[in-house]
Amino acid sequence: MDTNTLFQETNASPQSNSKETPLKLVIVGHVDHGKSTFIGRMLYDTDSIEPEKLDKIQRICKDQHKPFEFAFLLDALEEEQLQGITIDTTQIRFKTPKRPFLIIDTPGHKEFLKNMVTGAANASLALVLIDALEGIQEQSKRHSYLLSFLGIQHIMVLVNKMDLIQYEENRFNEICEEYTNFLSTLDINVHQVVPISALNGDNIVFPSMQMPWYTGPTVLSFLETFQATEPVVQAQNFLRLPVQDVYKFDHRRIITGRIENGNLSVGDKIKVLPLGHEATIQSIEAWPDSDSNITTSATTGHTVGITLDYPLFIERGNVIVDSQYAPQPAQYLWANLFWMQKAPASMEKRYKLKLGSQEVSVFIQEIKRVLKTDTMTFVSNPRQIAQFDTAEVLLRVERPIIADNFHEISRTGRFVLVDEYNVAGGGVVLSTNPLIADEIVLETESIQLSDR
Amino acid sequence: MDQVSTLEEESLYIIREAYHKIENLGMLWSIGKDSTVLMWLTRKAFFGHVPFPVIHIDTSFKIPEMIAYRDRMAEEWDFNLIVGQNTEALKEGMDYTKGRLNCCSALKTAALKQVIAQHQIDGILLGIRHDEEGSRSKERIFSSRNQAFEWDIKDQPPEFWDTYRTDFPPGDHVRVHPLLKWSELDIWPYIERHNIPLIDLYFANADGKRYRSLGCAPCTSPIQSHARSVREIIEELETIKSSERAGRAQDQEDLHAMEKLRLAGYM
Ligand SMILES: Nc1nc2c(ncn2[C@@H]2O[C@H](COP(=O)(O)OP(=O)(O)O)[C@@H](O)[C@H]2O)c(=O)[nH]1
Repeated sequence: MDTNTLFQETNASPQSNSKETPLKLVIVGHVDHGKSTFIGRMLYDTDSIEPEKLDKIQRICKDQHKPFEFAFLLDALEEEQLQGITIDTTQIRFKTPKRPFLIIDTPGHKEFLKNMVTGAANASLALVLIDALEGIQEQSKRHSYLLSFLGIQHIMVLVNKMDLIQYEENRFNEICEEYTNFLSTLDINVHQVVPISALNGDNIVFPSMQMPWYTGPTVLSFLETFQATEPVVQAQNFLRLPVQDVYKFDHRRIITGRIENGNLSVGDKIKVLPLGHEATIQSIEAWPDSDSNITTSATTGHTVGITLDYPLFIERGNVIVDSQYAPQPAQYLWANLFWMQKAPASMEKRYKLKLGSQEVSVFIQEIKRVLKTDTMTFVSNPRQIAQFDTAEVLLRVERPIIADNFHEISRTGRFVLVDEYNVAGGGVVLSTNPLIADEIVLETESIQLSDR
Repeated sequence: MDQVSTLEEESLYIIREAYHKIENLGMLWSIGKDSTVLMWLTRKAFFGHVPFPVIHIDTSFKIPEMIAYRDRMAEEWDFNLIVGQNTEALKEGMDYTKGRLNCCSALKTAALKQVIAQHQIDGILLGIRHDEEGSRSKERIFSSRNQAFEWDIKDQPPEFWDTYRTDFPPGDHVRVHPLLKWSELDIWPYIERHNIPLIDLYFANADGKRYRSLGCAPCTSPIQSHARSVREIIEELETIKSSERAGRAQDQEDLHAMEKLRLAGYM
């Protein structure tokens, strides 16, 4: 199948360490630009496809009287295979001797954008496919914009179907230029642009014989050496422990939550917001008892259970912070909002804002400007936000919440809006406004014990 | 944090989220390695307790060792075990000879429906994983089913930034999948790390056979293997190419067998 038999020894073998975290790649792009074909080719050329799966796909293709379709490896649903489209996001693992990978495939149809968001949000690197013949299309732009919105900063661009333009260097250069110009407005790093043919396997695992003018790495060799710059841990002291629940299964009253930022240790003085009462961490609880590696301190990402030296009233939605570095609860948030639901976002409606375990009623008080993500043009003073557009908005929450600037503490700087039962949009906090004095309606409950 | 610890932390968060959001929660325990890991994580999330019932769907065709193991663990780990069985279908003679998909639907899906109705359960924790098979790879962590138990695979909620859809219209029933992002090769190292007790069927017997995936006796076959310990299983899996569920006959029944079963409520 491959002319480049010389390179066969790069085939996958199971030497890479299974404990290593896989590099998570999301594949995005306009519909039919070749996402599924690319993934199938990558798996095939690294010898990563289970024989039963190849067999099964061969049977399906035969049933449908089609030539072998790589795309069926990921488009597992019957409907996806019959219509030849990707409906929902999927992930597939493979590894080479150098490292393990997790590939996340996403749908290119606009109707399935929320599935694309679901898939992309977890990736550390995005591969954007662009059809060399069709060039940059609506979803190529929209997807790239959403990637930056979701917080993905690393992009690799693959100009696909080079075989259809006779592996022409000029056309490739044109697309590169147009696209990198567009991306530079989005604060996204383009690491590498590679001309490929997913169908023929050029420059994916094996270097292409057809494009001697291209001297860069193949997609795989780039991925094998890619190092995502570690996100700088900002505000190390700024502990954020949103309370997830309070348990009283036995004599202990355990407060649980995930540390979204910072560290905590037994003996630390903490403050419980929004009320602001103080106490000291008495213990970090764990099960089984032998699990003592984090019992005196814990850090970002740990899901902990703690007890306090004083029985403060604490409930889900409170946020535990370092007593010396407590932020101001906010009643107003300036945010960038991405709207996913069909019904437009309206200033007349009340939504539910979910930020970690905090849930509160919210109104859109002001819509400053809307960015239409298909044309990337701004609309000022709009009354509503249409599906798939983003907007800079001022939100007014009904009860003060603890929110951070997304650029300072990202995990507590992002939220979703829920309309009735559905997640309707997602947002990142640009700045917070503390309470406006005469609007403070703090609960005056006295300190009391709560038992679940 | 390494890969397995990262997955563990996320799963603990999901289990606690489900417990807070779902009033009448239950957990499905198939006795297999994944749901046993889920059980372990549940005890970890609740500091040694299992604060909701554990449901086992007994088709009556399970490999006999599984039932003995189940009853022993229920006692040892002290949880409230509910055994569900579609006795009516069994009385009418349902078994795999009536068609594997029919059999799975009646003895598993329908039996689960009965238990859920009887105990008014509105959400269950399940140990399925993305990498098991095609339709599971499309799942969400919080995945709702309508009153008829159906899964609307074409209109699933967005799930990003660790926020899940936890608001549901009355009557919906929720499946929560804390292990969705684990792979077979994360599960085994986790079992090894915590020394989680597993049923012997996973380890090679004197004839050089072991089960890689467990189910009903007539539809599940062991693989050739000499792996007698968790460590040896990990080493074996790192070199094996065939799929985990290759020994599960219902998957092979039809090209989209699993999808069809799962759209109608199968686990
Ligand atoms: N000529 C050519 N066709 C391709 C190439 N890659 C994909 N295709 C074809 O483009 C169509 C769409 O590909 P697919 O992978 O389904 O696109 P997706 O919608 O982005 O997943 C299919 O008919 C593929 O066979 C390529 O490199 N060259």
